[in-house]
Amino acid sequence: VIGVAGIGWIDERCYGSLRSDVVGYADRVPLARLGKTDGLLAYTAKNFGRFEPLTQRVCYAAALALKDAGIEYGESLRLNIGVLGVHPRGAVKSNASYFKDYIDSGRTLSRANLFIYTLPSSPYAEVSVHFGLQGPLLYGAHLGPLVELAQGLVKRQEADQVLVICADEQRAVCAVVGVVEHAVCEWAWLADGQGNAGVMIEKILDVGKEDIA
Amino acid sequence: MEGGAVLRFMRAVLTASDMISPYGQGIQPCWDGLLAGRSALCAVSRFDTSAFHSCWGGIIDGLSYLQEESLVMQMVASLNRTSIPADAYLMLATTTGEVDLLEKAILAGRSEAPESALEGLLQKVKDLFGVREGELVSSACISSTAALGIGAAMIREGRRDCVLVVACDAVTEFVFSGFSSLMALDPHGARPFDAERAGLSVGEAAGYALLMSRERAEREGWRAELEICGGGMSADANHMTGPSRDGSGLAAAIECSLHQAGVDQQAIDFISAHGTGTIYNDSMEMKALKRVFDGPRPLFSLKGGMGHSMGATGLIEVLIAARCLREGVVLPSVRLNRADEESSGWVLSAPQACDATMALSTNAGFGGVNASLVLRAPGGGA
Repeated sequence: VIGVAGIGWIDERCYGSLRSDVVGYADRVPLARLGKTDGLLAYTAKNFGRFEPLTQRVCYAAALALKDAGIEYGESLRLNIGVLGVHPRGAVKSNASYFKDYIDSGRTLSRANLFIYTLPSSPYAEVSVHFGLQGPLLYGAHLGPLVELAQGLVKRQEADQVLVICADEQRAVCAVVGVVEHAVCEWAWLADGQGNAGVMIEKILDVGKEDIA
Repeated sequence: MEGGAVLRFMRAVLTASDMISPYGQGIQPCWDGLLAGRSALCAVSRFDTSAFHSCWGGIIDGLSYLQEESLVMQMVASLNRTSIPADAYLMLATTTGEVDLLEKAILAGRSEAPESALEGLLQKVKDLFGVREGELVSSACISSTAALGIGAAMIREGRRDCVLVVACDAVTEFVFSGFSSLMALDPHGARPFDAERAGLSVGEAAGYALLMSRERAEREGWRAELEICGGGMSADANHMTGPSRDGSGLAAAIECSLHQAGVDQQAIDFISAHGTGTIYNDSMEMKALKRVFDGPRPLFSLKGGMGHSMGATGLIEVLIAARCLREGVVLPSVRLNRADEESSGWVLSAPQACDATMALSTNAGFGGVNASLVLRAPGGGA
């Protein structure tokens, strides 16, 4: 069946996955260094410290979900995995950062490294680049249609798996969708978050691993 | 991305469309301009371009920064929207949408502009077209190609029988300054596939494509203008702004679209290429095509004529490719002077008659995304 093979998540204080314990980090390490200190990323992501916090969380959630689903990745590996992402308000915040910086610079020079994050798909493109994921990649506004799209991409064999990532300014949660013997949760459960990463994470924590599995 | 299951139960056909481009309102002026080899690129006067690497852009006359309505909503509102079924599932394709609302807010001293969020634009477009359901598809410059491919797949698999793809992006100071900062603008205007090319020109456009299952189209008396019989997407997983140098990512997307269509590369009669005019994109695209095709096919890019309309470009290119199939003519690449070595023998500098039944349309974008569609003339084969 096509179902959810693993889930990883991170918020402002903790991170976890379906098959691991919740780990607190906020009082011991900054977000940007978490990948190294806690070994969340298998190898260093180029310019990771310069990523926006949202992009950093999206990368961590993807790493936790891939590990949860038992999918290995590596610097020289390329995987046929798609990345579909949703976060409320899209790139509004990074758009404002870019344009304000441009105006403050006298309306003549702008910074390319800010401009590339003005696309709502950019955080998910960073996931694709870092983890070597070569499947379809896009941003949508609502989780339900993206879950439906992920199913379709796997069904048509356009991707072996698809990461469906839901994020907001504080949290990110990532589900690995693919062909599985036993899905760890139902589709309706996954889509029911209504695009709200916080609701998704609370549900994961409230329901408990046994109930989900 | 090797192969894939072919799950075709229905056929997805284009039944209605419209567009606005720097050539004017509708498909006809755009077709006439491109066929004549006339470029609509001009010096942009919407904002001060003196600090940028180029002043060239593809601008639609009559749009105004001063109106309350955003530039993209001015464009979308101008489209002929009669007869759109209320049960059509909307897929809105854009990259920056109403970003001019954000420009105004920042210039007025505000720190953010939630009114510029793409979700707000989605609701406005739903209201404008009178449709009940819809979703946003944003994936850099493949946005509308992705939306068309996904929409057609939904119809082929029987999950929807009517999908409305609307695409729009505007030339704003925001995007113009950004592309300039990336050193991506050709100081002399875009010259796709030319030996002297030096970058792209930003353009603006909006359009829609109403897709239906052939069964519903026949039942309701719609005339099929085109069939979208395959789509493919991929990511290079290589670099945020630069394409893969070997073209393997785009080649994978093309192979996927051919497989979905159930045809071999030999079935493709001509190619509507992405052809931005940047050195790396056009080179990557030719490498990808040479990986897939056993020999040259007539090829063109629209971007020397109307600029790069970002999220809208794929949809505009499909509407023009449909016209090529209908008229039996493959268009020239406007502003091509001398083809570079890689594209020589492929890219056209003058219109060419072609008894074509199938075409390929390709796009690529930031984040290393690639997309491809296989298009068939109505009645063109099983």
